[in-house]
Amino acid sequence: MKKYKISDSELVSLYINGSEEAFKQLLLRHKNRVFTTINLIVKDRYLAEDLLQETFIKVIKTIKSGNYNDEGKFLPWILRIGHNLAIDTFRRSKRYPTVLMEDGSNVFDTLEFAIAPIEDRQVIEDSINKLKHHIQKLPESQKQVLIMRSYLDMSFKEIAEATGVSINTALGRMRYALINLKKKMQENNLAYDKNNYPR
Amino acid sequence: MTKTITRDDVLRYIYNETSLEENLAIQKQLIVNSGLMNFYREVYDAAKKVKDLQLEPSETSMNRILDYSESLKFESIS
Repeated sequence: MKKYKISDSELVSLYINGSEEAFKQLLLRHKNRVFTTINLIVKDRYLAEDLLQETFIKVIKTIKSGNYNDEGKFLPWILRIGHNLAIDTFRRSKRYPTVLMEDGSNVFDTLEFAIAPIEDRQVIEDSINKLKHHIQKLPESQKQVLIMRSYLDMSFKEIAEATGVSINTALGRMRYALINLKKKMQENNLAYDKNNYPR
Repeated sequence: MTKTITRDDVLRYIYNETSLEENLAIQKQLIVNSGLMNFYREVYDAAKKVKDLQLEPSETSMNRILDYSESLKFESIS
């Protein structure tokens, strides 16, 4: 986890005392992590945008009403809120079919980049979209462990307890998830090479 | 007796969930066991890519959240 000069707890205290700038810093610090977690679960950028807003609105309400008490664990707390909202929404949405493109992505699913030059942007965007797509395509049980370990920073023991399985099962699911992803990424690279160097 | 190092041990090692003692045993095994080393490399690479994946929300979402917070500046929520 990144180390900042001003900790999350200090920013929360400043925010409680009326500093909107402190809240802006918290938002900028954690928006991508929370958004990535939500987006990988719900598989829909626009829904993920809504849930991100809902997550931070819950955060704002909790802090402003004086009910925030998370012993200095701000990020795990907001990640849990976002994760739970996304899981609830995903479970509800599974009752309805979703129209996806052939590669599994949504028609208007794009990413925004502020730093990379235009020519690099397409390559970065492409590889990020592929990885996102592969993660979203994993079996639910594998994806769940992958997200909990990679973005929620839960230990394998915590994941096992939260999902009601043994540690060995949690480890096994993670192992298969990573091996599957690696295999898919290699397949992509092979396809890319063949397209670029035809015989 | 020396403990056999499994792939799950290597996975816990990648995620910093092993003790110093286990780390040494795993590192020793990785040097002599090419199968385990290949597994480590593949899984480490995939794990790093997943960890580094960052999807960015839109400016619109950011502004809506900030506006919402600003709108409650002089209110108290009961």
